[in-house]
Amino acid sequence: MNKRPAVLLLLLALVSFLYAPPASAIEVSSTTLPNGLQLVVIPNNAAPVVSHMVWYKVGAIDEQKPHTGLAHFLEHLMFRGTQTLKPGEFSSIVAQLGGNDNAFTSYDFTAYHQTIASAHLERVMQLEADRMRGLIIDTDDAARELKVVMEEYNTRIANVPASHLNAKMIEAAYGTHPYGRQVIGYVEDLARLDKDSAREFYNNYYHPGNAIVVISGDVTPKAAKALATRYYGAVPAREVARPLPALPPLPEARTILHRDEKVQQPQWRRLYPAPSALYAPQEDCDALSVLAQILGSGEASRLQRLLVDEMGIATQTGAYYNDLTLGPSSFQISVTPAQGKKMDAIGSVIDQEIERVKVSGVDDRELQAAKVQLKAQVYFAQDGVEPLGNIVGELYSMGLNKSYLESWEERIEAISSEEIQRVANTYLLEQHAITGQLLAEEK
Amino acid sequence: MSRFFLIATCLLCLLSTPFSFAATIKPIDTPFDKVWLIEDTNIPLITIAVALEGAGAATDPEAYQGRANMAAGLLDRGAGPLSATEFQEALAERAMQFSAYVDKDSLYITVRTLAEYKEKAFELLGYALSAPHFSNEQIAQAKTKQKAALARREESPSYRANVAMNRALYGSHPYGYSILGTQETIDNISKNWLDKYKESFFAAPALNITLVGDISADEAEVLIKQYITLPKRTTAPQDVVQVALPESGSTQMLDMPFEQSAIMFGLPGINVHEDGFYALMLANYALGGGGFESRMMKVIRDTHGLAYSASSYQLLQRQSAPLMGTIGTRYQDAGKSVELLKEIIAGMYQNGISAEELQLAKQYLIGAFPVSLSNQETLASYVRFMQTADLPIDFIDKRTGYIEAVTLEEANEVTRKILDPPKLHIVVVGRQPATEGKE
Repeated sequence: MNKRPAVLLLLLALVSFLYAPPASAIEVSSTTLPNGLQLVVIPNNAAPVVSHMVWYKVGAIDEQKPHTGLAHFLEHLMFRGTQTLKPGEFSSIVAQLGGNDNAFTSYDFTAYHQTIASAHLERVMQLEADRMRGLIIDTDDAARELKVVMEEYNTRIANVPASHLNAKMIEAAYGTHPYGRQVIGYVEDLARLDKDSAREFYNNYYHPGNAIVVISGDVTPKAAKALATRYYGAVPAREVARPLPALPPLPEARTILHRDEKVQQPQWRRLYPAPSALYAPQEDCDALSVLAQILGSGEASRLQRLLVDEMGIATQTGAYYNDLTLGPSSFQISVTPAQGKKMDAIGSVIDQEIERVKVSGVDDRELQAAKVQLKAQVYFAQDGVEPLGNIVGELYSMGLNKSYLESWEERIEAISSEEIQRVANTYLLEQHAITGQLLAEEK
Repeated sequence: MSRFFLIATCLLCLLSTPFSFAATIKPIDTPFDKVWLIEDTNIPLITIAVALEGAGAATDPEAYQGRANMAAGLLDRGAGPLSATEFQEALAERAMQFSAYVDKDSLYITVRTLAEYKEKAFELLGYALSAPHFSNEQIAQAKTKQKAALARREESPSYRANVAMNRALYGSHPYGYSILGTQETIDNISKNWLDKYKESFFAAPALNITLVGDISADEAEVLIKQYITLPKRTTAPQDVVQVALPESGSTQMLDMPFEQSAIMFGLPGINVHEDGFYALMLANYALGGGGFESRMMKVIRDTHGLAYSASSYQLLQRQSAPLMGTIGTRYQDAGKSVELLKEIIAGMYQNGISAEELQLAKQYLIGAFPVSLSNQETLASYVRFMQTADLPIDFIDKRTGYIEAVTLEEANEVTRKILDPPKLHIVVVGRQPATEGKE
């Protein structure tokens, strides 16, 4: 062994000894390049691996009929070649380097990501910077990729009865707001997607000032900035206008039935429009998060114990709320009824439980358990490089920042039963509730 | 401080060759089969991955299919001195995650916990392994849940295709049974049958544990000794009868009202300890395991736009390791997709794979492996797999060598042996164009 590795080993020993991070201190450093690109780095040298993500601030929320499905279609096309790469070559190169790559489109953002040995970070940054403005869209390729998107539609929507119910429920809840349709788009609009509309969308939104690069793992903020400057910094700046649609009015309460011959197992669902952290006080959102955890997370949750264990009218229950949305959010409850049990019975029990929270809040025991669970999420999220990359990416693309993460434990701890009671009364309103039932065909 | 050694070794490797993973797996001395530890003090979490070998769904008697699956779901529904509610509350109050499931060969439990609750985690795990209640009340509830879960799965054409493929490959052998059971067999399962299952298969020599996280070898030894007890086996375990695959292939077309058809293929494969295993692993990457690099994706998705997903994999079971694959395509194109698939398989059978394909497969399978293990959950699962597959404790180091050593000649011997068209089993589940308009 020559001198250099020995020195490296020694340095490493020192660094490892010093860098024994206190449990909750997640380091997040953010900087903006001259061309407007935001770079966020979460260093973690537990393993020589990085998650590299590019979040474009564009999604289904930016689409208008009859061009729904564009954001997702463009996501597909981003893999089909640039001025320097052949179609499919992007993923091929990443695979050869032992990395995994993928992308996802949501209402609010479109993200492209790779998880790879940190030695190859530079290469993937080069590749992403290349396709930020270098995408080439070939007519035949676009047509072929459209067929693939149609199959994805079939996999996720056409084949899945619950997706049809979901489509009806969100339309009832959000009307003509983009959240009122599914991210993949309306099937009649999909048929119209083509290379020109994709190219226009790409030119409107895919610019450095509209992108956030998130790197989580074995890299220092300084090294990441140097690489980002070299590759992303070279992409010319351009102003991006991203006017968001107005929030929709609150809907009138409705019950929606969807019958389908494919349904073997009925489902019951409830959706209350709820605020996002962008439009309501953070305490309100945090209280709703705690309530969702109390009601619907897992085997010891309120709804599970009541509907499944005690009453035997359901086999599964859940509650869900996400405060990180650019548009309106929702508080959702789902119940899988036990065989032969009536939907209306489910509905009454849920209504009663929501009423109970409004009148008398929550028990101390379930409140404490929910707090432990929510606070623990921060620790579980530090296992591997991807979870924090995802959380941080989502935060920054909402226009929020690391203070959300840093104050998480404290904010959750501060939630009281009274707070929960208050938000239930403010937001879980019967007069705006959308109820959905997924049923088999009538015999 | 074992992370230091990990990073140091990796860095050394980076200086010369592509990054390699040298896991420091420490065996712990216990009365059980294998207990291995990877200490990681970077985050205050522990992942405990448990396997009870020989306790899988292949032990279900035919009329009681779904038994092992039900038992797995009941382990945290009352065990030791704790009722179902008490056990669940003990987990919930600590944000502890307990999950159990079975495949055909084994029962698996994974417990994830904040390090501060490590003792409680072993205590609860100990109760679940040694004294699950299987109370009548919980059994009744479990039946309802399992039947509902089955009904939900039956809404998926790929689940239906899987069931049909298992029957094609294994016939009436237990490997052909449904892990979830059927609506009828689930009803047959009684406390008596669950108790029998536990008595027969929950024994010390069958238990493997992999620990990853913020726990030292000494702590692990103490906690396991204190909380984990299983009886020594009094009688030799009844091995599942040897399975014999049929000589020739089959085709099943199942008419079901799905817009997108699920196509599945199956072929007898090569198991972990058999000659040619790594050659087949590489050939499989070229066929359909390598995502966008694979022939299945390139032809069926990229060239023809017929599918969103098209892939293949080796299903590693104790007694049988078939090569399987799936395609999802709209029902009108199912016939064409099957033709294309057969062409791809025949092409590989005739001409093998190319040197370039072999090289790409090696690069990915070697390079991506350590990256995929860089979190506790997947690392613990993988090392647990090593235990149940009887792979040695230093396998992670050896794996690269085994893969690198495969020659093009060997890869093409294996494609000639395995991708034998007359042995191909095909299942297509979805609307069958031939029956349209005949309803």
